[in-house]
Amino acid sequence: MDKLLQFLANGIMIGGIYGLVALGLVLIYKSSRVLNLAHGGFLMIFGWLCWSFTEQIGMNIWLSIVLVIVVSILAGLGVERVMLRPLIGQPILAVIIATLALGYLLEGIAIMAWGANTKGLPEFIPHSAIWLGPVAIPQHYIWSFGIALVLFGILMYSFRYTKMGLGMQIVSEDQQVARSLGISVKSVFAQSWAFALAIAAISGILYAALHAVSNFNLLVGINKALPVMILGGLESLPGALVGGLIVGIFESIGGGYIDPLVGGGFSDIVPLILMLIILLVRPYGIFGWKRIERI
Amino acid sequence: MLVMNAVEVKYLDVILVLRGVTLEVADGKIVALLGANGAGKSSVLKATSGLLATEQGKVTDGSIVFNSVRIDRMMPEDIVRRGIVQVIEERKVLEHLSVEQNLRGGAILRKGELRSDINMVYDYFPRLKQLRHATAGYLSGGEQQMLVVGRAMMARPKLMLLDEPAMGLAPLLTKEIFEMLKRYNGEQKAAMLIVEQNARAALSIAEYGYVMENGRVVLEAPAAKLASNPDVKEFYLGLSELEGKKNYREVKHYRRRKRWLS
Repeated sequence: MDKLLQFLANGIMIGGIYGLVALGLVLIYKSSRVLNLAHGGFLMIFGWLCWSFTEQIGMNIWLSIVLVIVVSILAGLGVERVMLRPLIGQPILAVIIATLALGYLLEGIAIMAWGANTKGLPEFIPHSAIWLGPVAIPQHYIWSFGIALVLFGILMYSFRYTKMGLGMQIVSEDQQVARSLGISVKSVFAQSWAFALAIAAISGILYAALHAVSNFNLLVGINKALPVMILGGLESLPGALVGGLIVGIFESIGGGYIDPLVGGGFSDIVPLILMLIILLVRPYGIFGWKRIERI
Repeated sequence: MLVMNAVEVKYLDVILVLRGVTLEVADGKIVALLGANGAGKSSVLKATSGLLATEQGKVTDGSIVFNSVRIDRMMPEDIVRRGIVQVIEERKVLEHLSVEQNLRGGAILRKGELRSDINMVYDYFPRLKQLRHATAGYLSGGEQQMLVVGRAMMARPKLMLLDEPAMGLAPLLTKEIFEMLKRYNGEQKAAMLIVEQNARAALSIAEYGYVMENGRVVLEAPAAKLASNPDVKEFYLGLSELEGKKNYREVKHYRRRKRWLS
């Protein structure tokens, strides 16, 4: 029983991080209809940048975190300017392939700059665990879960109550209508990419703090965050968190019980199995927007 | 207020759609733009509102001047700021948002409290008030048309461009919507340029009218004169002066004599 509770707790906590990564993906999809296949790559590179600032340049860890977030916002604006703007009006698949290429580019840059190594970030969150009864929860997880909730709250509030949020929703519905109402589609793209890459930076640093800085971090984007996004619904912010929790819990429990039986590796495919199931049963995801058909 | 002078519009740099269109919309007046399919009427509206840019079109010659400012090279976002709002054809509501969110979207550029404007729209279209929390994509055609017109009203435009508001609507509903447009024009003093296939409905509320054919304006007159013009009656209002069964040979030769119909 204790083991189950521990797996459950782990699952909830790791699910928070998956949800955070997926939040960035959903934000980009919600506003620009682009599936950002470079999200994992950005996550990884921001982790490397943080390591580089602290270990290679010697900055204070908190200063480098802030600096990385600033860089990520600039990167978001840059991606909009260089990649999205020329492709406005072109089929969306072109943009998705462009993000795929961007992901590979980032991976290559990381190898060129820092080699194919694994490094650790200096400790800025205490590594010790907090005990809740029989369950031990590392403090990292609590922090990242908390940050995920805060960011999620900010995004939900702005989508529902601010003009910027309404503008993003309108742009994701119909770009021509958005322009006819006076909304600058380019500005909306720039804002959402900047925000989403800032989320990528935060989640990349948190993930690196939890595990390590390595080039394999980018797999989180595709292997974990994408199933979370599909499970929760492509356009749904709450779906990202809920999906993250579900994937985290199933991965942790499934991996915990079955990994020892098959020699490991089952936990890696759990998110993908869940993605398959949801696509067969309810393709729009739990909270996704159904295609409205008037009969 | 709006003056188009010899405007030429091309799509993709090669498809010539407007061949020198000159028209004018005076302050606070309703002007109808009639014509068969493919005449270029929607392009006139899109050139004015700047939405040509979203369809790879460009104004390649001539000028469009709104209140002494040239707007033919402006981005649609700036043109909306100046008070020109287009109601795009085919009732493009924001499907997954609610009716009230759609209306708020219409006023997204405006600052300040929107409650009184929303109530004004509900006053013009009471059915929208009953549907205010409904998902816009599931509304019927007539309700969606009311919603897109209401959305345009929220921006408090000085000039409203309407692209085929009566398309696909039942006659009674068409009458209702056009009456509301006339009322809006009277109370808010907003000018309107209405493109319509339903010439009868359009001419019933317009003060002036233009007839377009193949990218040119071929006839212009005050609306009453246009409605009683025999050619307009025959080709757009479906009323024929020829007795008995329609003799198509006569029609063909009659049309041939009228050069502007070539």
